Amino acid sequence: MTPLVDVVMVLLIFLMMAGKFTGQERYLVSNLPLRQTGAGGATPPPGGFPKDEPLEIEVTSPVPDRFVARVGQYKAENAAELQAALRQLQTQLVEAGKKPEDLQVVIAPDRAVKYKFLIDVYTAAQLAGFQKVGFSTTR
Amino acid sequence: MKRRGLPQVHTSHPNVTPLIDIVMCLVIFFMLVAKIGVTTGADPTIEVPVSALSRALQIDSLSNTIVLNVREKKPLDEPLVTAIVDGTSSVAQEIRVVDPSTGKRPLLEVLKRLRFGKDSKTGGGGANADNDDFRVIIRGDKEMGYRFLEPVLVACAEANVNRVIYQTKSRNELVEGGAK
Repeated sequence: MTPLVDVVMVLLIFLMMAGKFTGQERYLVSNLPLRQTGAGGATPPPGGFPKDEPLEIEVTSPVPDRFVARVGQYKAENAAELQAALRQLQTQLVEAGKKPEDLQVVIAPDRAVKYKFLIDVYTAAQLAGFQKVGFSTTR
Repeated sequence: MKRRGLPQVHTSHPNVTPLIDIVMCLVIFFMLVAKIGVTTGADPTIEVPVSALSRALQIDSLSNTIVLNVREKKPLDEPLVTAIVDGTSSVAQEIRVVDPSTGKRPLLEVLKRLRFGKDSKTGGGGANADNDDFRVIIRGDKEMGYRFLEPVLVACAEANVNRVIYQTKSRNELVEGGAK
């Protein structure tokens, strides 16, 4: 009985020392829109390029810890305002006959905007109901 | 006459059966929970941004996934990109976006090779086969500017990577649904 206990205890200690016990990692999965004017000359997707021009969100950062997003006639200084503006825009576009799944948003940030604000903008766009959100690399 | 029935209990020895039961349960628990010998190359020192929409993603195979750690390279005004490529090392190595000495673009070459096979071109079979499920996970420092992320996204676009995933932390209190 004692050798069995020894072996099991060794196994237990090995697993406790060698294992990694990190929390579950989280991800923001993108559904990138493609543009014909995008960088690099990437080949078009199987269905071709979308017919409609995507909605462009311009993001600037006048001071390091704030951002300003402009989309259409709207201006937002935080994620909640941007989300509300995008919801209104989406409603207008759907009423004009567009399909929600065809609508695309391209985030066009200034080079100085912090990554965390871009994720806020990205999240706001997806929470507003846009399924295809990506970053512009043409500015 | 020989006595029959249960064996004689030796009160001088402790009964280890419950101990073995507990330890075996612990062993099974650790075997199921622990990740041994699996590393994605994620840099734990990078503080990723928070998102209300972040969700769990099962990375079951690293053969079609690369984790790019992106941060500012101080004092230079360029991104520092590190990753484990091809599983040849357990430590993330730096992959330069542009090598100024040669003018080559190592990051783009790596992404193209992983996306399109050894020939880095569309089509082909075997080692040159395309990997349509190839995905890039970007683990970016939340405080870096977009100028450090942009060259990485450009390389992804040029390598025709269709699946770019941003690693984030969850913020459950702001989730209100409405998106997939």
